[in-house]
Amino acid sequence: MNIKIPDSWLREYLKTNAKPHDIQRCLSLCGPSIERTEAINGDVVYDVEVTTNRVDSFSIYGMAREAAAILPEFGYKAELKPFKLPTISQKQQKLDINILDTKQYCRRIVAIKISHIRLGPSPQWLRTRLEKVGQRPLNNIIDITNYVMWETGHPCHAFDYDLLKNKTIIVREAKRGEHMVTLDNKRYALRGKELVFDDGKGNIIDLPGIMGTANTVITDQTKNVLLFVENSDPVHIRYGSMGLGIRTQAATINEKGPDPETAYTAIVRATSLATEITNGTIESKLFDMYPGKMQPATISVSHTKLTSHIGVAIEAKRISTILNKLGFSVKKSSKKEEHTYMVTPPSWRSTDITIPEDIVEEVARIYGYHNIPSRLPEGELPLIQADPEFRWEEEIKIRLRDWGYTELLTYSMISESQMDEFHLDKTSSYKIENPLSEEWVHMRPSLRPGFLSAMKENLSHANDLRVFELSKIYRFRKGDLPDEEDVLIVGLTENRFFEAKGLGEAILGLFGTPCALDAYGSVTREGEITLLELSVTKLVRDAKPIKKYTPIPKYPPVVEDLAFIVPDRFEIGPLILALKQAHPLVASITLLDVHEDTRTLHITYQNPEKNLTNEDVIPIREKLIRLAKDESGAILKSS
Amino acid sequence: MTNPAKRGFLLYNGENMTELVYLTDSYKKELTAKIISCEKKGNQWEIVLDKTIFYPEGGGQPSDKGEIIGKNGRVHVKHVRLRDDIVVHEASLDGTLAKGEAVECTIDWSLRYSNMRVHSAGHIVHEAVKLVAPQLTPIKAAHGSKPFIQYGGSLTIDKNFAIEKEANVIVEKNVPLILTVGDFSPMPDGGTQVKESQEVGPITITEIENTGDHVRVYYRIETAQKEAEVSAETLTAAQLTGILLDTQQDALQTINSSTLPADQLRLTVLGSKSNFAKDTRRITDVPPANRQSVGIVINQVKKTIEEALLRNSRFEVRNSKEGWIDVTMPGVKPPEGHLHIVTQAIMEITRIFERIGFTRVRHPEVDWDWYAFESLNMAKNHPARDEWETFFISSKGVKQIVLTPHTSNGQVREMEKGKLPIRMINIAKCYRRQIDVSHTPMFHQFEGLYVDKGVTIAHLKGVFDYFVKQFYGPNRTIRLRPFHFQFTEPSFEVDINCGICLGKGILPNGQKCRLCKEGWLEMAGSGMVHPVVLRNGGIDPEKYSGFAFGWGVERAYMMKNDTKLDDIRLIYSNDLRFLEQF
Repeated sequence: MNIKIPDSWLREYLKTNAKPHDIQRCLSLCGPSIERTEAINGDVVYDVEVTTNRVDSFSIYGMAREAAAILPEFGYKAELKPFKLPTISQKQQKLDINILDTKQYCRRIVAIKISHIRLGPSPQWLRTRLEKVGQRPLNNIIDITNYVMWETGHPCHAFDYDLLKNKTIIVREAKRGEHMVTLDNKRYALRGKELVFDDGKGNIIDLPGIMGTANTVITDQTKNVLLFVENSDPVHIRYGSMGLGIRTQAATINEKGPDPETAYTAIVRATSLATEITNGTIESKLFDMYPGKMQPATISVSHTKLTSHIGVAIEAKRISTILNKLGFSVKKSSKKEEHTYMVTPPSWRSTDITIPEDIVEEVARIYGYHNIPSRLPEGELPLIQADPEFRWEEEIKIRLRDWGYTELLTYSMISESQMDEFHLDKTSSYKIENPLSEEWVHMRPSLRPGFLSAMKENLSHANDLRVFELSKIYRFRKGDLPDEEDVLIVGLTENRFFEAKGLGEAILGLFGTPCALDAYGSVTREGEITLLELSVTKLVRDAKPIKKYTPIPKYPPVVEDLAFIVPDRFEIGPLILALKQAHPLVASITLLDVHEDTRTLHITYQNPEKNLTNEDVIPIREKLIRLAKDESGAILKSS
Repeated sequence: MTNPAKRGFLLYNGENMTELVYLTDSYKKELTAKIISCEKKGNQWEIVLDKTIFYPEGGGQPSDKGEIIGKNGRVHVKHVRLRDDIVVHEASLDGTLAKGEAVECTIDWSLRYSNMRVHSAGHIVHEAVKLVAPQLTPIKAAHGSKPFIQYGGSLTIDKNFAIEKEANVIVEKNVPLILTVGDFSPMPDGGTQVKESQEVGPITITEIENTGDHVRVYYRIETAQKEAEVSAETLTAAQLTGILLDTQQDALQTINSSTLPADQLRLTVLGSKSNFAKDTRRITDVPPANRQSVGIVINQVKKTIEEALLRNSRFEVRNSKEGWIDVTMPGVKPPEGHLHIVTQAIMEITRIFERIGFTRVRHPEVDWDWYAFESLNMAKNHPARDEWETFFISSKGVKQIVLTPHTSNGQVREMEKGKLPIRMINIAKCYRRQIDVSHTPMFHQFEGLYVDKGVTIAHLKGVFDYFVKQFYGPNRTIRLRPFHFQFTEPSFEVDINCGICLGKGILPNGQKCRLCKEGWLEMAGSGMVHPVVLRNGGIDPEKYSGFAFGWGVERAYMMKNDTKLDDIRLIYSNDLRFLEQF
């Protein structure tokens, strides 16, 4: 979350000789990151990124506090000027609004009545400051609440006192189906369990910590106001804000649990500004209900742990100094032999600092990450077996690249209509509940839809494609995570069945598996595109990566070509397989030529023990010819 | 080397002494001497004279042969040697010889003269070697049928030409051979020498042979007979080699500076009228035994010139059968495919981490909410979850399924394997409900997890530093900034210094760098593994610590300086016109 901090406003609470660019550099290295600076009317405005755990520094004062701890480490003088809270002349009479929070949804509620205000535009200095931080000035009362939020870090609200006709505020959870209209005149139906203020008659008069409602908000007619600061349960704020989609600055702060101590600072600051600027008068005693005072836990952390996590030896004295500067109290433990610090964080860090590692961070960042040396790991190496699939994936990808194919990478999600088009089961798939676009709804159970659509898009500017993708598909498993299977898909334009098949066989060859292509995938045609799909996961499972040595034959082979006349719609595959197994001396059989009904086979006979003579080959040849005729009706072509 | 001359010109053996006439006059072919002793040893005679012109074997020079004739006998001297400091003529005897008898001695002059020339040639070669390779130390020499000089040290065999050239310069100068020959062997050394160097005739360095610490330089001179036979244009292999090399040099220069069309240029340097062709024809001038080595040189020179012509690109090949071909036409390329840039990035990242012991692992993309969020210290409805725009498969019920929005879902899964230490790199697809120039609903992350005893922030910095230097280049570096994640404590944002301005934020021309935020680019989230996460993975945070980080693969790749990729959506466009650029 980002906040704008004008340098002039910051220096109201920070006395330092550091220049704006020094502040930017030093804070970015050790604290909140000042992402950029902007010059506005002779002032510098910092754009600061504050991390979600550091709501305490999400304000002018919070930033001054950080700067005061960090800048001296870089040799600058820096001192935090504490809030000088004016003593406000409270009236003796108690606030005549009945505030009830029986379930203690709020850790603290402070309120005060200001009457006879003169509503109007704020003075120029205040307007300018709000403009610099990006807040549009409205009227003096609203501006004051915003100003206080920026300065102290605690959101602050103002009711039109006279609109609180029932003089009652009850803190409760909303019921499902209740309605309310926020101050920007939007009507909301509540989900239930949001924190609301009730006027005692069942009417919602505020969405506390998030946004005011139209029925109690400051209007042009407002004469008397009730300044109101509640520090409520962050979980409820988060729930209400996210559920209704109302993401105000107040909600962003309140859902992170600002320090209830600051609530007091905020109301006093608001009161003094209101009397000053609107000419109003304080009409009540300050109401302060504070059941949720935070008790920061004391954390014990040893010197060894601190330095061993950071990786550099830091003196004990330096550690104490750093922590003290950040507002932590540090005591040395007398019990333990080892040097141990008993560290208690200040109230504004009580939710953020809870474990020893948090103390490590505070010491390390102020000491300076840039002062910690760089070291490569020295420990023993893990003894683990590398996942063979990565190596295979690389092997396949590199081979395909070198065979002239280009890799695509499509989205894992496909559309509902793609699911339909490819007859994929929508009921047994992983469907995204909150898709970003209707293009990306189902986790794909097949690479085809996305891959083919990517190919088709390329066909508008290219006509000869050779592409592939090796990615996961998500196989459905009921009540469980998907089976993430790695699949290779290769696409070629036109009918290139044998090329695709050969490619598949070549890849199978790498894995050394004895099975045929259809055990791992298929070659198919989609219109003008030929596709090869192979399950890489299965191939890896069956892989036999170690090649076995067979002695190089000492004796020359006998090689001959036999041409057969084959019947119509003849399948040569099974015949080749059968002939290969027909005799141990048949070393290999390949299809040499195809012409009309003639198939020429190239046959190699080999005996590893001796030279083959024609006499040796004759009976084998006869067996092959007989087999071809008997098994598949292929007749030797007489020459 | 036994060197009789070191004791003067007389040898003493008791009362016997031999005057060594060959030392004072190596051209003396005949001499009258007196027999001091004549004894039969075995089946041959041993004769000792008061003075002799017979050279005994020594100093690398073979002994002389010849005749000794007395009144009643005739001796064929077969071999002469020094024994116990006297010169012994070993011979066969026809008739008888008497002690004290005066005899006429004649040496086989042609053998002697040839030996002298070989010997002198050896000294000349040595002088030449000293000029070419002064670092060598002479050890011994042999001037027999295959003469050589042996040195300590080594010599490249291509020095033969230089040595031969220097040696023949000495021969040509016709210097008197009363040479000072330094530390090799002082002159006279007991061997016989020709008077003038020209008498030696052309010297050929036949071979340079390196063996262990030694090198032998073999040489040869022309025999007197052959000298008469061969023509004036006789060339040694080394000479022709030298000529060819000169021609090659000239040809290369011609090619480099030529503006001729390719075919003419080729004719000029390799055609039948070229110097190269002329040189090649001169191979017939080289003794047949040495032509093979010259042939090798010819082929090499031709190859070198051909290569230079090819490099010169204005070259067109003439193919006698096919006729002309246009060599400027594009070549036939092998098929060219492309890996997706995400695959390329993943391969590179995997390699880099492998080298420091991080092994790639695989974890689900569609995962339980527990692994994606809850086990990472993010309870349901935690505000921190807002950072992840998550796709839900089923948000109802206890078992919620999400498309993992980060690779961190592998952290607790990896810990659950129960093996420590852990050095994991998990690279996988992630999904977030976002699409704009820097977001696509599907993208890739790589997650590093290191859990061991004593893991510190310094290790995290070390690994990051290592990675960016490997992936982006040696002058890139990182910095950590405080950040917050629920599953790490402390947490960091990792920045890398901008590759354009190298972290300065300002370009050399003084302008602000437009690529980066003040010199740094945000890269990744990281931190020390939160103790809750360690416990969820069954690891005791009191004993072990660790760090984790997660980076976007596409972003990491796009940030490489020269990709010029500015829209992540292009990466998933699947447009081949894009993919084929990588």
